[in-house]
Amino acid sequence: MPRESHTQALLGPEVFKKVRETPILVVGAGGIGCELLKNLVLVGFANIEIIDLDTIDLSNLNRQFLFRKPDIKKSKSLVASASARHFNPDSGIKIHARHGNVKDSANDVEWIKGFGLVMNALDNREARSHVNRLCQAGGVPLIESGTAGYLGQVTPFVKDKTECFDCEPKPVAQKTYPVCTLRATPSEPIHCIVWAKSYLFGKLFGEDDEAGDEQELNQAKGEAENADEIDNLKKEAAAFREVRANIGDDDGPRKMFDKVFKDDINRLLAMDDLWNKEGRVKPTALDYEGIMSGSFPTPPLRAAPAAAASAPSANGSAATEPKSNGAAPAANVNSAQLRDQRELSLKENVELLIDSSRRLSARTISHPDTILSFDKDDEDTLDFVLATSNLRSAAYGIPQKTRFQVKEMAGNIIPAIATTNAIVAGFIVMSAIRLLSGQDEGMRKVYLKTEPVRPIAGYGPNTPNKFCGVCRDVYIPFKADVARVTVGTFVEDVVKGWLEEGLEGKGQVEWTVNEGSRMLADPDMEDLYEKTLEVMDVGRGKMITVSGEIKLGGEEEYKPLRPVHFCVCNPSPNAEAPYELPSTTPSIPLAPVKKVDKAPKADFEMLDNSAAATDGGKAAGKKRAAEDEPEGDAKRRKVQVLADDDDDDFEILDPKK
Amino acid sequence: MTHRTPPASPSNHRPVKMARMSDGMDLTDATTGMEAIPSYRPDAKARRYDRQLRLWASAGQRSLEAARVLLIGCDATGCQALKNLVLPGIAHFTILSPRSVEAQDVATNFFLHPDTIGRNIAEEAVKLLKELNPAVEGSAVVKDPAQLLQSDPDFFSAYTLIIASNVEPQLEMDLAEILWKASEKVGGPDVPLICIRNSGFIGRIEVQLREHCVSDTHPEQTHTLRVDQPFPELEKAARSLDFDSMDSMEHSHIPWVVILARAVSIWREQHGGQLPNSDDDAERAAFKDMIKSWRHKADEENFDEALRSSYQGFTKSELFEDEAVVTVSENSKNLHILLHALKQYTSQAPHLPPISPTLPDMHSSTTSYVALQNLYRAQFNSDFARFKQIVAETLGRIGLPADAIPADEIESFARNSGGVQVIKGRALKESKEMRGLVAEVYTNVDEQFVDEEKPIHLGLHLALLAAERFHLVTGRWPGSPEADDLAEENRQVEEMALSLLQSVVPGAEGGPETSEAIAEVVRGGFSTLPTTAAFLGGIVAQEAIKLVTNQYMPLDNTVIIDLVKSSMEKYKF
Ligand SMILES: [Zn+2]
Repeated sequence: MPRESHTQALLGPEVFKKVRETPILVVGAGGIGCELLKNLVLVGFANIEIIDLDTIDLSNLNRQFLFRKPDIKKSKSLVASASARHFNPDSGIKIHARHGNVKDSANDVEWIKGFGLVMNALDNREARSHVNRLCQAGGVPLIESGTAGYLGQVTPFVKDKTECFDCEPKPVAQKTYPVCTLRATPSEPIHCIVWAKSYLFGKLFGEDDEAGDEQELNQAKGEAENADEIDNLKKEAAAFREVRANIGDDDGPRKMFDKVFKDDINRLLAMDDLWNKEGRVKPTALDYEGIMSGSFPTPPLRAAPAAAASAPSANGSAATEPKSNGAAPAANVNSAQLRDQRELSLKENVELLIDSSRRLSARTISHPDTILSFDKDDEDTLDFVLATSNLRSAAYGIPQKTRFQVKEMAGNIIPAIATTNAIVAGFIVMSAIRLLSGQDEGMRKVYLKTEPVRPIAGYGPNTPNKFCGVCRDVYIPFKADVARVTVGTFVEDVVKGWLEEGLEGKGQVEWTVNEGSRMLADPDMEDLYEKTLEVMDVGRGKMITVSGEIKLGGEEEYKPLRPVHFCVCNPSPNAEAPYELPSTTPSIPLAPVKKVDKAPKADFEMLDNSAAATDGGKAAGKKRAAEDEPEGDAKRRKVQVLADDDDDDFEILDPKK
Repeated sequence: MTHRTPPASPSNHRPVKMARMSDGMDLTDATTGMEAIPSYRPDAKARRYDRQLRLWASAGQRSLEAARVLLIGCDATGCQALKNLVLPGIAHFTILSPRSVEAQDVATNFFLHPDTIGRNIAEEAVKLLKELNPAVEGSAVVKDPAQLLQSDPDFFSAYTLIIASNVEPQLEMDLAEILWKASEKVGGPDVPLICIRNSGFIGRIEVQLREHCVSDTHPEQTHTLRVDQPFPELEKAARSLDFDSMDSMEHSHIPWVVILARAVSIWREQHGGQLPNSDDDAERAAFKDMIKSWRHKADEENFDEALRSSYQGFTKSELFEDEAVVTVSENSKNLHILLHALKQYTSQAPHLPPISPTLPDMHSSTTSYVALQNLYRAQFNSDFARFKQIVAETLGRIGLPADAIPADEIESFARNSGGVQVIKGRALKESKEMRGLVAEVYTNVDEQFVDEEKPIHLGLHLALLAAERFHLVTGRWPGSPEADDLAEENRQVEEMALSLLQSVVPGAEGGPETSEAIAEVVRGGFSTLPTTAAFLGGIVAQEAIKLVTNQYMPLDNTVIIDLVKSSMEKYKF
């Protein structure tokens, strides 16, 4: 008995035929992906490809119901499709599961054009943008979705009819911390956590980037509030190199402890003018022997975190006590039930530091080619960050955090539950059915909120943003044998010979050719003309972006045209010519003129969206951070930290509605 | 002042993740993996539930792990709902059904294997649902619910919560009535009942409960800021500021809490200690005008915030009276004991619950925010110490050990005491009659429906009610496969809907929305589409979790869902 018979009657034969026949791509087999795959199979979608690069983790099992405990560490997409097939073995449904990255070059425009509909069930913005661009380039409708705790959202994007994922700039749900606060004058737990995971961990186990350090510190020198302070940090960096080299020795972790928690702190203490600012609290150097023997008194907690006031964007309250999006109250210290919600003693932290350093250095020794990076689900790295951040907090009189809390603050953890995913996946399939039946209602966005009166609301669709640099651009499939096409051929034949022919108003045109941020050619640069695209690493899956400026007859100025992206694909099987172009040239409109208020400042800054994770993108505290930074602080040197993506579900895309 | 120039994204060449300890590694490395889990690391259970613990905390999880859920009506929607409860780890579920699996069941229900046609449906579904979480118990009871209701009504009140998915209208009513009666006497079982009705793309969820306490509503405004009765330090701080001499930067960054506390303080001084009367339009306006008069410029956001929240200046914090709270015993629920303690706590001056230890985000400078935050934190600590003391005394008095309520539960209750709410429900029978609401809505159509979606949802509800009546008369659903004449059935349902409507609003006309709604409901033939089942199963489980954990406001008491339009509307009928 085929499972879909009921549905057939309700959808009607025409729509049901489309459901059976349309090839569907599902990107992501996590929280939403599992629910989605089940729904698709039950409704009768019979031609499904699902791709995911992730493997199954224990923390997935509270909602990703196609997985069982024995599946842990196995590929999500493969297990999900096997489970879904098991439930519906004889229905003629084809599920093509792929364990891989949607951003691989093989997943190019030609590939995406093979689908009638794409559904994103992703966990990170970058991959979302990538699929969005592919879908725009290939003209394939995309249904985007996301959940965070009780919040959820489904947004269909249809080329030229609705906005695209990148039409509206996404709120930057990230927090910024001045580098000196992190490295010398922390006042909140989050400062110590970010320091431990982004700075200390990298220095000891991450990529050894000596040149980068130097450059960064020299650059910072001119801008710092205190030149001595920078010199100091520079010395610290050099000392790290030595500690790092010897960390595998028996006394390596101990030496590291002394350097980081004793010598470095003593050095900072010697700098009087660092501490005579209002609200600054001097740290206490930690003493290894004393801690181990129990004779070292735990430094007292700073009286009140008033010191935070001097750090311009120390939104500690928001970071440590996430409340919005229905996040649970910060875990309490004395929970008898959960051992990771217990505070460790100073001695336990030191032991954990030594032990986790040993484990990590053993890993770097046995696998020297693999660079370690912080991962909240990697127990060794989390242990290290837990121990070092708490020890640093202790030295600075900052309250301790439990493992449960550190994991959340450091790991960008987004709460995720089965119910929200089920609701969202139900909506996705409804949208899909309606899009396939050609109903405009399929383009409405749906939001799921915690509002008690109307928890679900549909809106839109919004029209494309004319300034959008993704959906308003022109895309051309470029089937090419990249070994036989040179940059020169591309510019002269493809761009000037073919593309330019299609321009409506005649005039003088100047073209700039880029791949990503790399320039390949412009009117003054022909150096790379002899190189083939292959040599330039412009292969399958890449896009060559051609930006033109036109001076129409009788006009004084050049005006920019919309960029044209040539999407490099494999040549047709029996193609003789080195490349193939569409039979007609596209029309390239002028780019709309946008008033620019002020050029963005080219500052670096410490970005960390760990707090944003529990905010559900609401970015509590952002308001203050943005507005009360005095002029001087804005110039201060800042460093970027990339936060990890969570392993399945994703922050809410745009909860403002 | 934005500064955000992430240099070329390093994530493009992030190092390859290294195999973890428990993964396949060399023998030498693997030894670490064999050690016992260190004491600071979460056990397997905590790791499985990690993502939800961050949402409802360990107190919520404990309640969930004690919950026993009964499903009557073993259809796709009911099983989807159960799936969403088994995954997060309820204690137990029972499916009650005597019937056998049919082809249609297999076609829509993911938790029935195609080979099981002819076997008992409850047993088969339990088998697959149990696989989702080995920590959850599941059992099938192969009995007729209607007979069981007669022979053993206590069977039903032994559950924490009951879900009735698309059961026959008569059974639904009988079950609701028995549960309602059982909850009548004080201390009697008050088992919430969630009823699902579904036809094609249309769904409805009805919740019957007599009383429900929400220990943490997690509202947008989670914070008991007590602006209406500022504590002395806050009042002092608010009065000491000299608004006029501030520069514009400083002035536009005074936190709204301070602005409001100052307004309240001044108002009380001028009005013999009274707050603005919330029923008096003139007083409310005057209060707001006072705040407006302090503005330096029209666009100061902090003043906008203060005006938006000005109701906090004239709404007195309220507490409730309830038998289960007034009299507590060793058998009382934790929440009732806590509420009892809270009641005692507020019987002393300043007659208010413990203050919130955290502030919502607001427009202010960091310095003044942090200073204000410190005031609140200090006040919370002293409030909380007093509250803990009262809880301890209460526990001692009723003969419970001091740790009967875990410390973290007390603390989180105290932190959220402003978010405590009590819901008084209505009997399902009564809400199906929806007299008050329909009368109001149908007679004031023009004023009420600024929003065009409402009449459609009401029409759908009416259509479902009429279809239930149709079932009571004919013993089957309109539009079902056995229907010979769809148009005729449609007409009959229209007639029933109209008589239903006119019994509430004499002389009312159904209108085109109702006809449209009836056509859609009849067209659905009361069959279940897999996506609708998935969706409703999600909503139902969400509500069940809210009820079991006593967190978040449940949808009280009727929700109507139109998946053709992706919309949903809630009514208290
Ligand atoms: Zn766009």
